[in-house]
Amino acid sequence: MTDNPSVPAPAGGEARSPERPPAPRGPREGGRRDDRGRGPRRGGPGGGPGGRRFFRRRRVCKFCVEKMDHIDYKDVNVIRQFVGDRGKILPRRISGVCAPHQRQLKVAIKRARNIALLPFATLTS
Amino acid sequence: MRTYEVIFILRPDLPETETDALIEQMQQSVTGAGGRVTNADKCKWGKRPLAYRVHGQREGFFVLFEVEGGGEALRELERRLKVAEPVLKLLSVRVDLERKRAEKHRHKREHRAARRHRPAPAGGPSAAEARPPDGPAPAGA
Repeated sequence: MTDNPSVPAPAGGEARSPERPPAPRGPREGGRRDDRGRGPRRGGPGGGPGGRRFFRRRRVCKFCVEKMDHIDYKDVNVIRQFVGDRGKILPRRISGVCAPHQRQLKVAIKRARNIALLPFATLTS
Repeated sequence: MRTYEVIFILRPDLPETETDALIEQMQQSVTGAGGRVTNADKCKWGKRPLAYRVHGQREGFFVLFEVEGGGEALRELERRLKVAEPVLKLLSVRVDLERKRAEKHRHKREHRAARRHRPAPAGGPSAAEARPPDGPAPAGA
């Protein structure tokens, strides 16, 4: 609070993040940036040494966009988009499906598997 | 009254007459137990590839029934299907609750959208004014 009137920088800092004091921002931001760099590189597909930027997917639930209230186990073409090559259910963090729709999708996929519309697992040689 | 979807797979090498006979027989078992097959005329999906092999078969003849009725109708149908030899697989799902839920969601969303787009409804009295005055003599009388 003592350096607030003398330095004009806190005003800009306040506009960006009102509750954070300016002093610990430097080191913490550095630490965070480190984490941010490491996370995607570990999870991303082939984040090589070229320093390629991590490709962030458009995280929008497809079912919400198309305003589908019910996911039917019979339309395989829709469901198949949310199943990986091996026949596994894609996690939400990859497909971007919202939680309520992922729950419906899970049931639909399991039903479709039961009636041989979708594979339980596919062999990849 | 409940609604069920019963989907079953028949052997693909079954002659068409036998397929039709079996479907007919199953429909009768539903009606006999007090139910009703609501999509009786278009219940056949036809031959489709199976995602995995079932009894050595790589494809199957899919049939989908929408059954309306109580649990007894479904139980009888399931029993008959399990006993029937050309049936490879069957799955029955109760759909009335899910449909009701989906309907509710749809209504909710429409309601919300309507409220957002028309914040101030107007035209009640003006509509009354716009009503044409009755009085002109009917033509050709």
